[in-house]
Amino acid sequence: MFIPHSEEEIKEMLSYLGLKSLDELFLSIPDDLKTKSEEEKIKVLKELDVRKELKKISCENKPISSYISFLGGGIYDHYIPACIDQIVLRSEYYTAYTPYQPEVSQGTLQAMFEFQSLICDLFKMDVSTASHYDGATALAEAIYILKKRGYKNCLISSGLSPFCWEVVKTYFLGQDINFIKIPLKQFVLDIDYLEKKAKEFENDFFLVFQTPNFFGFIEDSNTISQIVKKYNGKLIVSCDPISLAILKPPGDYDADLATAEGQSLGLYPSLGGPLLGILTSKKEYIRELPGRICGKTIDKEGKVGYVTVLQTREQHIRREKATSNICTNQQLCALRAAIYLSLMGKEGLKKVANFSFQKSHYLYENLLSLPIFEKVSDKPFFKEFTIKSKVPIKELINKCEKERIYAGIDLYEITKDESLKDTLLICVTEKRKKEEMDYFVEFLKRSF
Amino acid sequence: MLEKLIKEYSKKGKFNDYFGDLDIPEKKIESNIPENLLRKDFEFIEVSEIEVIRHFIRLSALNYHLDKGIYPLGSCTMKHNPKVNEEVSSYEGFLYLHPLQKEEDIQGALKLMYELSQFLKEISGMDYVSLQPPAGASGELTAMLVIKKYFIDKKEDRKIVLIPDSAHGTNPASVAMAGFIAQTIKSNSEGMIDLEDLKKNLNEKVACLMITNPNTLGIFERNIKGIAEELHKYGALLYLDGANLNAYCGIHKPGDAGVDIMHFNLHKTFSTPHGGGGPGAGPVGAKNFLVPYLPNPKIEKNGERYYFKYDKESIGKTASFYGNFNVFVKAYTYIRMHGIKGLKKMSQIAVLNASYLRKRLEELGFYCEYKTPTLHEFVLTLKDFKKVDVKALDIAKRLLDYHCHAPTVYFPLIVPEAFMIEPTETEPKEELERFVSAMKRIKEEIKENPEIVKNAPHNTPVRRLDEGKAGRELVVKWG
Ligand SMILES: Cc1ncc(COP(=O)(O)O)c(C=O)c1O
Repeated sequence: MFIPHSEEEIKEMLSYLGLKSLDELFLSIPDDLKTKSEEEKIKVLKELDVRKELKKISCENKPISSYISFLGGGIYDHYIPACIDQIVLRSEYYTAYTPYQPEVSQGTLQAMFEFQSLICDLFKMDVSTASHYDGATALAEAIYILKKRGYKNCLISSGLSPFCWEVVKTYFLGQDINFIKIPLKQFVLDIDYLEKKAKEFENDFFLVFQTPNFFGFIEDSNTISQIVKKYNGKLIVSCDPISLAILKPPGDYDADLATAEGQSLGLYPSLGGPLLGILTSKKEYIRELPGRICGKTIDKEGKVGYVTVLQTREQHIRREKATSNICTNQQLCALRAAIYLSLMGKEGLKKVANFSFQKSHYLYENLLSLPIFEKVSDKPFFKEFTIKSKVPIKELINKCEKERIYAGIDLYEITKDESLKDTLLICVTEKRKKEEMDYFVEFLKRSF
Repeated sequence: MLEKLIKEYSKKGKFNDYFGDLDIPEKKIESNIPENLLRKDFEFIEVSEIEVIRHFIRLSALNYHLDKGIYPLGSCTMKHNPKVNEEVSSYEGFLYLHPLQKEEDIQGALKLMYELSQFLKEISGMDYVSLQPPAGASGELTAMLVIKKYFIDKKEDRKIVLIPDSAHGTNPASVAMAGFIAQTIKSNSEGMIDLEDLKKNLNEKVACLMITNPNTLGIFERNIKGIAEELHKYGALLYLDGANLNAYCGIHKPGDAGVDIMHFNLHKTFSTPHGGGGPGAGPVGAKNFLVPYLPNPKIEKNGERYYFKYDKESIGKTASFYGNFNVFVKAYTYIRMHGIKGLKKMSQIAVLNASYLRKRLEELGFYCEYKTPTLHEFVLTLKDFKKVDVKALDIAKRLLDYHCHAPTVYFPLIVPEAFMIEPTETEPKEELERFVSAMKRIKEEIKENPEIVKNAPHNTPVRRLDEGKAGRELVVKWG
C-alpha cells in the first residue's frame, strides 16, 4: 500500500544495486535477529473497507455531540467555527515538518509568531512558546524552570486540576523538590494557610495555582499574588484562556509564568488528545523557556521573515543541558488556536466568555431551586461549578445518561476525596441552549 | 513582507457572529464577580471571516510540504500521509469524545487503542505498549522515569545513563530531565557503538544504555544482542529509541534483541502527519518486568469489554489523559491497511529507496563518512566542499531552489558537514532521480560558480534569513 513503484522498477533498482531480492537489502541484520515469517495476525482492509470499519468503531462510542453534555473538568465543548477544519486540512500545513528550513516554511512560522502574539495579548504576558503537549506538561515545564533557578519549595493549590497534578508528580519523580499542598477553604485557596507557608519558606518558594480552579471557582488572584510577592516567592498560574476575555489576565497580577490548556481554542475534545499546552512568561525567563519560540527577522534583501530563535536552549544543540527535551510539539493545534482567536476576535471571545458565564449561572440557579441540590460555596465561578447532590450521584448520572444527558463529572470518582462524595462538577458553554438546560432541570424534577 | 500580519487586518467593530442572541435573561457579570477580578482593558484583534481565511490560505502557500515533493529529512520519516486517515479520524464518534466519559460510553475508542497497542507489540516484540506519551521525546522521558522507578523500587542507586555520541539530542535531554546523568559512549570506525568504550563505562551505577537502531547513521547495530547481554550482566537495562523503526517492520523485532523498553514515533513510521511540528505520538513498549511501571491507566480487555486498569507501581501520567487519541486513529487505520506483511514491504522499499539513492549519489562523488551498509537512511559528509567555502547548509539551501526539501543537516554530530537523507518508501523512483539531478547540478555549480550556492536560496518566498538578528533582537510577538 502506498508504494509508488512498479514491480519492474523494483527489479531495476535491485539490479542496479547488484541484488537479487529485497531480502538481500537486510544482510546487515544478523540472521538470528530476523523475524521468521509468521501468519498474518492483522485482518487487512483496503481503503474501501477500512472506512466502513472505522465508521463502525466510531459508532461504538457515545459522543457528547449526540447528548446534552455538561462535561468539563479541563476539556470543554466550546463552539468550533467550520472554517478551522477547512484551513487546517490544507496539506501545506499538515504535511510539512517542523520548520527546519525557514525559507520554505514561512506559512508555519508566521502562524507560529501570530499564535505567540495572540496568546501574549490574551494573557498580557511578554513571551509565549510555540506550544507544548498539553496544559499539564506546560505546567510541569514551568515548574522545571523555577526548580532550575534553585527554588526547592513548590506550594501547590489543591484547586489545581488533578490531571495536571498527576503529570507534575510524575515529571518530578524522585527529584529534589518539595511539594506542599495548600488546602482550599470554601472551595478556594485557603489564604491564611498560604500566608503561613509563604512565611515559612520565605525567599525559597513559588506557588502554583489555578483560576478558575478545578472546581470552577475563581481565585482571588490579587491577594494571592500579593502574599507570594510579599515573601519574595514566584508565581505560576494555570488558567482557562476563554475566561481571560472577562477575567483579569495573569499579566495584570504579576504572574511570573502562566500556563493553560488551550483545547478550548478551537480543538475537539477528542478523548483528551491532541491538546494544546500554552506556556507564557515574563521577558526575563525567555532564555530559560522550553521548546520552540518564533521570532521576527529579515532576509538578505531586507524582506521580513520568521525563524525559530534561541535554538541554543534546545535539545538538538544543547543536549543534556537543554532547557527541555521537547522536540515535536503541537504545532497544528497551535495553528487551530491562532485561527480560532482570529475568527473570534475581541467581541467574539467576550461573547463566548459571557454566554458561558450567563448560561452556567442560569443552570446553577435552576438546579439550586430543586430540593435535591445544595451549594458548596458562595464564591464566584465562571463557566463551571461544583454542586452537592442529596441523591446518590451515580444514580443521578446514570439516570440522566439514559435520557441522553451527560450531567457532569462525579468529583469523588476523580479525586477519591471523601469530602467530595455526591458532588458534581457541571460545565455550561455557549453551546448549550435554554431548552437543553430546562429539559435537564425538568427531568431531574420528575425523577427525584 | 509576503503576507501582512493578521493584526494588520484588524479594524474596530469587525465581528463574526457565530451564536446569535443570548436565549436567557442577561445578568450583570459585576454583580457576581468582584470588580477587581475582572478584566479592565481587553485589546484584541477584530477581523472578518473572509480576511482570516484568505490570510491563512496565503500563508499556507509559503510552505513547502510533502504533498508537493520529496521531503528527505533524515530521522524524520516524511512519508506519504494517506488521505483516508484524515477522513476516518474526523468521524464524530472520535472527535466528540470527552476523556471523562465512562468506559461503557467509549468502548470503540478503547478497542481501537487496545488493538493499536497489540499491533505495536506484534511489530516490536515487546510485552505491553502504553500509548500515552504525546511525542517521541515524551516517550523517552516516560521510559527514563519507568527505569528510574524500577531501580528505586529495587533500592538500587543508579544515576548514569549511557548514550552513544551519534544519538539524537532528545536522548540526553530526556535523561537530564528525568534526573539522570548522561554519559557519552564513542562510536567505532564502522559507525557503531564502540564495545570497548561501552565496557569501560559499564558498572553498577549505570541504569541503562539508550540505543537507536538502526542508529542515526542508518546502520544496524549488529552487536545489539551482545550489548544487551553485557548490560544485563551489570543489572543495567537496554532502551531503544524506535524513531527509526521504518527500517525493519516485519523483519526484525527489537524485543528479540534484548531490548527492555523502547519508544515508537507514530508520526514517523506509521504515517501520521507531522503537522508542521506536531501533534505526534510516542508510545512506549516494555518487557513484562517493567510493564507495571508504565503510565496509568492501561487499557485491558475482558471478554468483549475494554476497561482502564491502574497499577500501583506505575510512574503515574505523562499526559493529561490517554495521549494523542486522534493520532492513534490514523496510525491504527494505516496499520489495518497494511498488516504485518504490508509493513514488511513498506520497510523493504524504504531500504531499497535509500540504498538506491545512496549509490546514485556515490556515483556522483558524494560519500558517507562511514562505509558500512545502511538501511532506511544514510548520512553523507559534505566536508570536501568546505575547501571552497561551501557548507552543508549552503547545499541544503540550494536544494530548496530546485524544489526539493533539504535533508537533515549537521546531525548526527559525529559526521562533519552531515547531510542525512531518508527518502522513505513512498517516493517514486522518478522523484529520487529528480533529487539526484538537483544534487548533480549543485555539485557542478560549486565548481562553476560557488557564489550561487553560497547565496542560496534564490527563488524561495524569502531569501536566507538573518538568524543572528532574530536572536539579538528577540521580537517574539507583534508590538
Ligand atoms: C532518533 C530520534 N529520536 C527521537 C526523536 C524525538 O521525537 P519527537 O520529535 O517526536 O519528540 C527524533 C525526532 O526528531 C529522532 O529523530
